Amino acid sequence: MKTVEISDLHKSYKTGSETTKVLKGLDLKLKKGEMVMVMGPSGSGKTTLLNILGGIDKSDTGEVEVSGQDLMKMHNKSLLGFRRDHVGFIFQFYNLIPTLTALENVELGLENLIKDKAEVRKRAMKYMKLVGLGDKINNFPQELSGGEQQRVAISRALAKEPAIVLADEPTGNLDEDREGKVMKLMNKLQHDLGMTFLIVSHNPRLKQYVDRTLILRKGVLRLEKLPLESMVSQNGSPILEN
Amino acid sequence: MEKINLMVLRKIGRMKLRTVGISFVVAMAVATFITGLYSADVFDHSTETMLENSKMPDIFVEFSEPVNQSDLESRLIDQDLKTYDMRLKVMAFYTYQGETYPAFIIGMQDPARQDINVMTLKSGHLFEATGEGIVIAGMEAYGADSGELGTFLISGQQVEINITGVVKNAEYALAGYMAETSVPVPGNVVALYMGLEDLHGILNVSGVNDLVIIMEDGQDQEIIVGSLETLQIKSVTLQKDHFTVVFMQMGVDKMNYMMPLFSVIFMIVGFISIMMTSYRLVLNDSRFIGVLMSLGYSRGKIVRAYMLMGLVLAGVGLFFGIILSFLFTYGITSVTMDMIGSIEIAFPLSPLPFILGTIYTLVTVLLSVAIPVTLITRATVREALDYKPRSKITTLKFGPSFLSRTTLMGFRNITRNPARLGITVLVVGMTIGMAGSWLIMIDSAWGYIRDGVDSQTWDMRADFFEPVSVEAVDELDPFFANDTEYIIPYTGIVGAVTYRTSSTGAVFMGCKDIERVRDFQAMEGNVDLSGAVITNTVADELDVGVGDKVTLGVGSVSKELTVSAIVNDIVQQAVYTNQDNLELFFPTENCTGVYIKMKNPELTEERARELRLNPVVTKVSIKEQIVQSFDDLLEQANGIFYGFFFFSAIITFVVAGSAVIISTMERDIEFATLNTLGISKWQVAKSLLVEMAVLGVFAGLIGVPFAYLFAKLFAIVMAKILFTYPVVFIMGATLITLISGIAFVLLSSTIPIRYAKKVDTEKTLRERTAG
Repeated sequence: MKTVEISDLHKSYKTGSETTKVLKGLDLKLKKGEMVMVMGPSGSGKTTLLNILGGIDKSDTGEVEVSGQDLMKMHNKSLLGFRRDHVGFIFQFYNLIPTLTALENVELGLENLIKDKAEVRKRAMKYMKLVGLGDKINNFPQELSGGEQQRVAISRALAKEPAIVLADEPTGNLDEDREGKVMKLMNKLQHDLGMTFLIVSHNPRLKQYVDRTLILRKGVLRLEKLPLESMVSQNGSPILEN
Repeated sequence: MEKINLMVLRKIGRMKLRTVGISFVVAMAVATFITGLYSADVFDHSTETMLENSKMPDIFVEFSEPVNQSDLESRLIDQDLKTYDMRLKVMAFYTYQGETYPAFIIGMQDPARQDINVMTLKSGHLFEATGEGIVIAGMEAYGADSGELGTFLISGQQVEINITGVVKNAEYALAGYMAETSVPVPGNVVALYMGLEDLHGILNVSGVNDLVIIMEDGQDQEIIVGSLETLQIKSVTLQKDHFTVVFMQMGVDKMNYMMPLFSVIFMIVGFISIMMTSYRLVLNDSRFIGVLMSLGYSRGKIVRAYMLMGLVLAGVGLFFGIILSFLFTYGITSVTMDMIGSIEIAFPLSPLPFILGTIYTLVTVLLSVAIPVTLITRATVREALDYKPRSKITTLKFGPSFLSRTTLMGFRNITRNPARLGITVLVVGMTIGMAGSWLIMIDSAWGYIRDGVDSQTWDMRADFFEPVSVEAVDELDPFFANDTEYIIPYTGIVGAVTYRTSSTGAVFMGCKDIERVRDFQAMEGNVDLSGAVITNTVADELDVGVGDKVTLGVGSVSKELTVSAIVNDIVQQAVYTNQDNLELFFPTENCTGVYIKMKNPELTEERARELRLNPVVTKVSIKEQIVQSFDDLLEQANGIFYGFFFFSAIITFVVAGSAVIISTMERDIEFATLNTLGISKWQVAKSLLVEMAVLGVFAGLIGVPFAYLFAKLFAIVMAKILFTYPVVFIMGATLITLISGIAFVLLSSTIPIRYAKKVDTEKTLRERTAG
């Protein structure tokens, strides 16, 4: 079963009289519970791809289906609901709300999903503990280190237990040890809850945690050409062609 | 044009919403500033124009008895005057539908004269034949209108006059107002002009008893009046002392005092608003300024380029501000003019308010741009480049936990920048206070006047043509014996009250039982009528206190009295004492009028009608009618004050909106993030509404003391020009100030909500957070 199915995706940006084509007929399929990393040079369209999948940007042409929903046919209001119910974003610069505490930031993403406030609190606490911040729940983002803020952002995205997590450099500010713990948590959720992850990163260390790594170059995705021994993912499954 | 200047100018074109916002703030600030100064000039000029065009006489002379026209004319010809008119004037009564109203009947030769006391026709035509007359505008609703047959009681005879036209003139421009009250109160008075010979025929007399004069430039009024001395002059009134001029001057003074004060407050509010808005605008550009510095542009060039931007913003604001100032001035003066006598508005060529407004705008805008640019260019290139246009966010953990996180965000956003919150609350509070001060002022004045009237126990007051013996007062009218609870004689004399070297005019009211007639509100001392009870206006003018000795003087006679109390009073210039203390001036066995309290107050009007027919009585005042007149006047004034209130409330809307938009503009990443979390625009709007509501409550709470402070300031100004009233706590006005303040701040949340709604999530995240 496919969580993401993109075919012939085109996207361009107009700057003045100049049009820059970012995505040129991109195809991508992600299975439910799969974790894929996209690498590529700056300006190659990685973030654009995340934004289109998250329903905050629209492609010019092509087909985009996430969790069985055709994003190209959806209007702003239904896209909002789609993001609320199916997508978890992890931003490179965390984008935490500065006037809410760490726990409240996590609860913010849950409020519209779960009616029971006690359940919201319970779930938020659970994920704060899972990212190792059980003792920092009442701190405001400014009172946390970069790494801690990043973990709050990860917790906020994962606590929603969405169908797909779109992560932009999710471990950019974490040390290697913490990075490993966070990636293992993601792997656990990937398997236990069947969450699908699309991670954009420049960090080659993350390859060991993902099912496959794709390179975005010249507007299309290509399977990374890797040595044969690394063509098997960490969990032992063979890397799939996109 | 240098590229750096071109760059800055193009920036203005790109930031459309902010350009409009800043220009609007500038325009409102300059408009209120200019309106404050210019409306005083317009008021002054309009009244002057009215007096000039209507050829108001310089001198009004009344004789005790009719004098021979030829004799008078021969004396006047010798004086070589510009022009004059000799008339016969009598007090009479006008009756309409069973009601009686006081009337002035003036017999004159030619109503069409254009060289003195010009009659401007409002309707109908001037009188031509016997039995015809023209009336002054203002009493049309009481039957004194063109084509009507007016019934007058002249010297005991009922006469019917065919009213051919309704006119306006300077002499009775404010005929409907009662001259004797310190607050101009509308009273129902008719002034009728008719043929002199016609009036001679009705009265069966000859001659004239009224003379109006326009002098040549440089002529001495004392010489002119001196030439008439042997003719038993009853009164001489100079133009400057005429009720029309005095009252209009009061209006001019009021405007001259009040409007600049109004403008100074708005100048402070405008200055802070402009500073906040444009300061932030420049700070947001600091990275760009760093780039310019790295390219080798000197600080001077960068500052000049941004000053150019300030100039353009100030220019746009000034352009619209000047247009708005004309509209505001027209609105304020037309309502005021209409209230005091339908005077046409004349805009004077008075450049000073506009010059001052321009200087104020340029200084404010250029300062608010120059300060941040100078600060940034003083830093190193690296510091300027590293500057992030975000304020340090202060967070306080407060807000009820049961609230949704978006609502909680609204609460917490209030304190994210405490310094800015402080300034915003102060500025918005000042504008709310400005709005509320009008309500508090009018309610305080109204309440005070009502209390003053209510403290009087009499139902009607009769003034006599001549002094009447106190002994004879009870037999003056048949109903006195049976229908009244009391009849208390009083003596009113106009004189001068002196303390050391200072002196002022006042009415000396002597009455044996004045404490039965009215209560006094003593501000200092105890009311003891064996001494002098003086009003606070007299006390202020003479700088006199309780226990000091003042001298009352009428002509060459004087009497020294010790001040026992200082009282708040509707009549500003008055000294109250025992009738015995006035014995030197006026025999105690006589009185000039009586206060009457009816057993059955419902009979007051009927008995007043009968009393007016008594030949001894010159005037009957019914307390309830005075109360009604006060109410009518204050209701008219209410219109103006509510106008000022809404005008100030609109400023609150603009100031609150422009203050909050600065804070909102820093939060576009937060809005974008909320969007990615699936939080709807309505939830974001709700969060902003909560924030604005809390801000509104803070500002409203600050606004209430400001409202009382401003009302107090206005009361000080009013004390100088009109009458003193204490500013008191008024629950209704306070609540309206608070609630309307919050409402207008809430209304201004449409500005940040609109901004948040327009934030492009994808673009914001890509441009502001991409690594």
